[in-house]
Order: sequence, then C-alpha cells, then structure tokens
Amino acid sequence: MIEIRNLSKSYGKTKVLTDIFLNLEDNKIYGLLGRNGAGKTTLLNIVANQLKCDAGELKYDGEDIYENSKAVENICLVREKSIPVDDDKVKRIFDMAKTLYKDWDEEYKEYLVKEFSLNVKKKYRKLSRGNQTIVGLIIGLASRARLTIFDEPSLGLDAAYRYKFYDLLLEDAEKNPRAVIISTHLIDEVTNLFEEVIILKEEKVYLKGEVSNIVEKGYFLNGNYENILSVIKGKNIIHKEEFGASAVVGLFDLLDGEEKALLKSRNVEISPMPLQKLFVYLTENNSKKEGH
Amino acid sequence: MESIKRALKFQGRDFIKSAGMFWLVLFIVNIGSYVSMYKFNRGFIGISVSGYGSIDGIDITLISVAAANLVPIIIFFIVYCYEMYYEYFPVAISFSVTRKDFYKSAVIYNLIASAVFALIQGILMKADLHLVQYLGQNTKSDFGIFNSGTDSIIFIVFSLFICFTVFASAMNLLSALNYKFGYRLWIVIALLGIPYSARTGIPFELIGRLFTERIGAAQFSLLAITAIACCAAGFLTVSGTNVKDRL
Repeated sequence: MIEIRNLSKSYGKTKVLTDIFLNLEDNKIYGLLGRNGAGKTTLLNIVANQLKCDAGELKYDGEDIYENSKAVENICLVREKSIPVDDDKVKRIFDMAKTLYKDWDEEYKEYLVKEFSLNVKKKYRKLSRGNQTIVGLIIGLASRARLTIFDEPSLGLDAAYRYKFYDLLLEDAEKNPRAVIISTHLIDEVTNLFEEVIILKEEKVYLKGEVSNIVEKGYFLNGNYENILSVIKGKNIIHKEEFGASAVVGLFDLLDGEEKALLKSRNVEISPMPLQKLFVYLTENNSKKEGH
Repeated sequence: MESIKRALKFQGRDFIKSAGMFWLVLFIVNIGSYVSMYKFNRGFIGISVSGYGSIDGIDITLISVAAANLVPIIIFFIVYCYEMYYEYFPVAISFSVTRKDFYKSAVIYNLIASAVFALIQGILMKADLHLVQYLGQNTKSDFGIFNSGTDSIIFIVFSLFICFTVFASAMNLLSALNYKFGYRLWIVIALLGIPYSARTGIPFELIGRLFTERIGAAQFSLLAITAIACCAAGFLTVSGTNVKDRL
C-alpha cells in the first residue's frame, strides 16, 4: 500500500531522516518506535501529506502521495499535538471531521463518545489533555481511513482509557480491517497490538519486522559470565551487567535448542526480553558481536 | 472531484450563515438610514455616503445610502480571507484535505461571494437611486467604475463583481502570505514596501486605477490579469505551506 524509497528530510542543517526505505501493507498494525527526536513524527507527517520530504519517493498504491487527493483522502493522521482549532466545541470538530473524511462512520463515533464518556458540548480548548487526546482517538477510529496513524495516542490518558483504546482498536481492526501505525513510548502496553515494528535510529530505519520474530531473538541470560560467554560467542550482545563473576546479558540473536540446553546445564537462567527493553538496548547501544 | 466537493462543503459550512448575518445587519442599517432620512428630512442622520455637486450654480449635497455598504463589504472580504487561512486551512489539512483542493475551494468561494455580494449590492445601488430621490434628497450616482443613474443594472453588477473578485484575490494572497510567513511579512512590507511606495507612489496609483476607473476592455484586462496573478501567487504560496501549531 505504502512504498517509501530513499526518503530524506532535514530542518535547516539538521538531518532528521536519511534514505528511509519502508513498505507498509494493508490491514496490518505497525508500531513505530524510536527515541525522542528520532524522526517518528516527521516521518508520519510526511506519510500523511502534512510535510513535504526533501528527497525520495513516497507512493500510495503506486501513486505519489504528496498533494494527491486520491491518496490523502485515505489517510488519517491523529497528531500528538492538539487539533488546530480556535474556540470550537467538540461537537463541531466531529462535524468537521464528518464532512472531510470520506468513510466517516457517524454511528461508530456516537458509540465511541459514549464509551469514553466525552462531553461533546464542551469547548475543545477547555478539555483536559487526556480528553483532547480522546477527541483525536475518536476521529482516528471513526474516520475508517484505509491508513490510520496515531502519533502518541496515549498522551495524557489514564491507564483505564489507554487499555479501552487498545481494546477498541483491536476489536475494530478485526471487524473493519485497515492499516494502522502507532507511534508510542509505552511499548510494553501495546506490544500485543503490533504485528510489525519499525525502529528508527540515527535518521534511518534500524529494524523492521514481525514482532514475534523480533521478540523471539531477545533473551536475558543470567548466570556465570564465563559460562554464558562460552555458549554465546559470536552472538549479538546488546546489554551487559556484571556482578563479580555473575552477569545479566541481554542477547539479540537466535538460540537453538542445543545452545539453550547447554546454558541451562551451566546454571544460566534464560528469560525472554520484553519488547520495551529490547527497544531501549537496541537504540541506546552499539550492539557488538562478542568475541569478534 | 469528490475531495473538492468535501472541501467546498467544509468551507461553506459557515459562509451562508456569516454572509446571511452580514447582509441582515447591512439591510437593517440601510433601512434605518432611509427611515431617519424620511423622519428627520436630513441625509446626514444614519449611515450614508455624501458628495457634492451643483444644479444651476447652486452647491448641493449628493447622498447614497447603499454606497456606504462598500466599506463593510471590503471589511467582510478581509476578515473572510484571513479566517480562511487562520481557521479553516489548519483543520482542513490536518483532516486529510490536500492544499490544492483547499485552495481551489477557497477561490471558488471567493468567486461565489463576489458574485452574490455584487448582485445584492447592484440591486441596492439601483434601488437607492430612487429611494433617496423619493425621500427628497439629491442622489449620488457617479462612482467612477459605474454610474448608477445611467448604467444598466447588469453593468453595475458586472463591475462590482470584477472589483470584488480582484479585491478578494488580493486579500486571499495577503492572508496566505501572512499565514505562511507570520509577522515577517509585515517587517518586509515595512522595510521595503513602504519606502518604495512613498518614493514612487506606484502601488497606490495602481490600486487607485484598479478600483476607480470605469470598466472598459482595457480596464477589464487589467483587473482580470491582477486577479489571475494574485490567484497564481496564492497557489504557489499555499502549495508550500505547512500547518502551524501556534499562530
């Protein structure tokens, strides 16, 4: 559905994205991860025609996205920042969204308003940050856009509403399949939503793949450091904490059954690494092949 | 095409309401002016435009109530164009409208507003001629671009339509530039534009020529070129403008 080739973007002399290559498919939920300033919001804004890239190609079903009505009308971006309205009531904002989104589902919007107990008669500017976020979430969900993008959808939301949103998104994605991109820092909460993750680092796509394949490669190994090293020599270590002779080693590599059995026989505890930890280690360290 | 229709519907949401309210207030003010003219037998009470002329060597005051509508109409266009960029543009672009569709829709609304306002104002100008005379006053009928006494209503409406369109196109460009560049636009105008126009007088002369001369073939061409140039410059401005989070 979306093809990105060699995409670059700078703000003045500051490079934000360099040579980005990405393919996004229909009916999949993507997680876009990256440290602050990694260029997530810029990338999403470019995909949604809010910003123009400096170089590269961005296609929607083979056609350029920028200023292409056929592509843009199928993309809904729920921005991290407030909706740029002055003094409008929430009801009016929903009416505007209803006018502008071609596949808007009014009935579903009404349902969501009730689910989130949102007072639509209030002025948007007077809403709490959490409720402003809810307005954006409702627009994103009810837009029924073929590609719906949520940039930091949990900003200001309490845990109960965050989980409500995740449940609603999953439920709706099942009934009305569409592609969704979620950019968030609360990775552990949404790991189960994602089918694929895209990690941005140093202006580029650092990693893209199925969540199950990525998580499958993340391990914590806890035990005698020498014992651990003797088995994982040459593998990708992304984290290491030593306590005398013992250590906790974070590994991002595949371990076969024989290696696992060997580690266990040497009293090394093996536990899966949560996606959030994996993301933190991958984006903060230059991982290295131990022994190379 | 569907996306332009949606942009038109979006921008038209408030247009009918605001234009309706605007004309309602103007009608009330106009009627109030005629009533006060009738009641007090003086043209200076109420809102009107006056001029001077002479009949048989005697100086007389010429009055037009409807012509006083031109100033509020100009203000309406200024406010309407600014609102278009400062209120509607950010929402439309955020809600998946392309800049191109937004701009086309804005130009269409400027044309609709110019046509509707020209039609109403043209009819009022003609009616004013008879009403002011009926109320015992001398009517001002020569307005440079047309003469409400001698020209047909079609010519008056056409002249007003052309002038409103040019003005709306210029305001559309100014508000698009102002949205894109913010206060920097006024700094450039203050630093370059004012000294230049004070020295050469060219912009004021041009503006004077645009809106005071009777519309013939040459004047029509000048106005049409001005409107098209403003629209083209506006399009170039808007096509490279991003939504601002803070204005």
